[in-house]
Amino acid sequence: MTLDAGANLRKGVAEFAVLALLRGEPMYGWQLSQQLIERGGFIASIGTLYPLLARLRAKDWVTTYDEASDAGPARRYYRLTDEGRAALADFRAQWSGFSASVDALLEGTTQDD
Amino acid sequence: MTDPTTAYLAKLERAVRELPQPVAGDIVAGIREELSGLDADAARERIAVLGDPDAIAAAARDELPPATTPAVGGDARWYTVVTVLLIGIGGFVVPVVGWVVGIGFLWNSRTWTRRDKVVGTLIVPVTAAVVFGVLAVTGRAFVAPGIANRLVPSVFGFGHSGLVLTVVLASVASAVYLLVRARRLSGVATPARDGDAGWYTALVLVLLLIGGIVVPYVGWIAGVVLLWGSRTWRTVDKIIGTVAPPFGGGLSFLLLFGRLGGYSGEDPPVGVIVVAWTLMALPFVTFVYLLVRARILRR
Repeated sequence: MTLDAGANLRKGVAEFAVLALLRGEPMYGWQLSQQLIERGGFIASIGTLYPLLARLRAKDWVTTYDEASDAGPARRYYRLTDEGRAALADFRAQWSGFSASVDALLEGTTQDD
Repeated sequence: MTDPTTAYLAKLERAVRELPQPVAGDIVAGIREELSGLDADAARERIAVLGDPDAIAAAARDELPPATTPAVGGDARWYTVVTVLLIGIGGFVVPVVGWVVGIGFLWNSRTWTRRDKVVGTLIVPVTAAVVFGVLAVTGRAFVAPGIANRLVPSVFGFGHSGLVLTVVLASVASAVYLLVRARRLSGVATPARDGDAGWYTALVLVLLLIGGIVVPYVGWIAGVVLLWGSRTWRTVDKIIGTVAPPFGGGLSFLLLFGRLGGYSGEDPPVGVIVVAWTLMALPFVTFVYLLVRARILRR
């Protein structure tokens, strides 16, 4: 199989990439989509984003609210919830350990001895 | 809203039609809020970045796990079943009103796309109008000439013209259409754990109900054969489905009996009328029974 390992990795962390982006401020769909694509190809297309956001909403990690914009209809913003913040912290804690393990494996050293 | 935007959103709406509702709506709303307010050139630029609507829909579909699709998609199962039944046979239980209520249910549902709702609504009135038009143009009488058969309720005299038969067939056709589309949307047809494919189940139901009218006896027998060959129902259900008299057979029996019994000129006894009505109502009862039982197995 010649599956793109990078694409699979990015897909695996896309949910947490969204949580990380929302940590600072609420964002709307297009903003999130552009950030996720530009900052490392976490999603392939804006089409990938909305099922992902629906999952995050189902888990109560994000909520939405509508806000009027200067032109056109109201924009739907996504905001991190406390649960989402906790999930992100949890991921962060696991990530450093995980990435250290992977590094160690790749470099051929062992952690124990 | 500018022209490229309108065209793009229309294409996008078509592309996401098969996706479950919250996601499909989110995609269209998210992209609409991004494009509106832009002038034509800016919109064109943004559309180029967004890319092909079909690719967006495909990306969303890849991201949706197949298992969660049905839950997100439609209404509760009982709502879908009630809607299909009201449209299919509601108009015969409570004339016209039953069907109209069914259409109300249909438009209020999340199980079907807008296109399915339009098709489901139009099948009956359009076919009835066409047949009515043909009959009017050809100048054929709506009430059959010749011997009146008092055993058969007077609407069936009307039915000789084909109009009532058309409405019956069209109602059942729209119910079957909606049933198949509902299954497709909710993804129930694909797993086929206990039962058969959705089209097979639908075919069995239709053949048992009206197969005997379309091809006398043979249509109904084909339905029974398919019923026994199916994995959707239990043996008990199959026996009940077989024992209930076929619609076509029952009707031709009545027409024949009405003539032989000499009920052409005078009113038949009440007992005979009751038997006649029961014979005609039973297939509908069987239809509902099998439909409900098929669904229970699938849970």
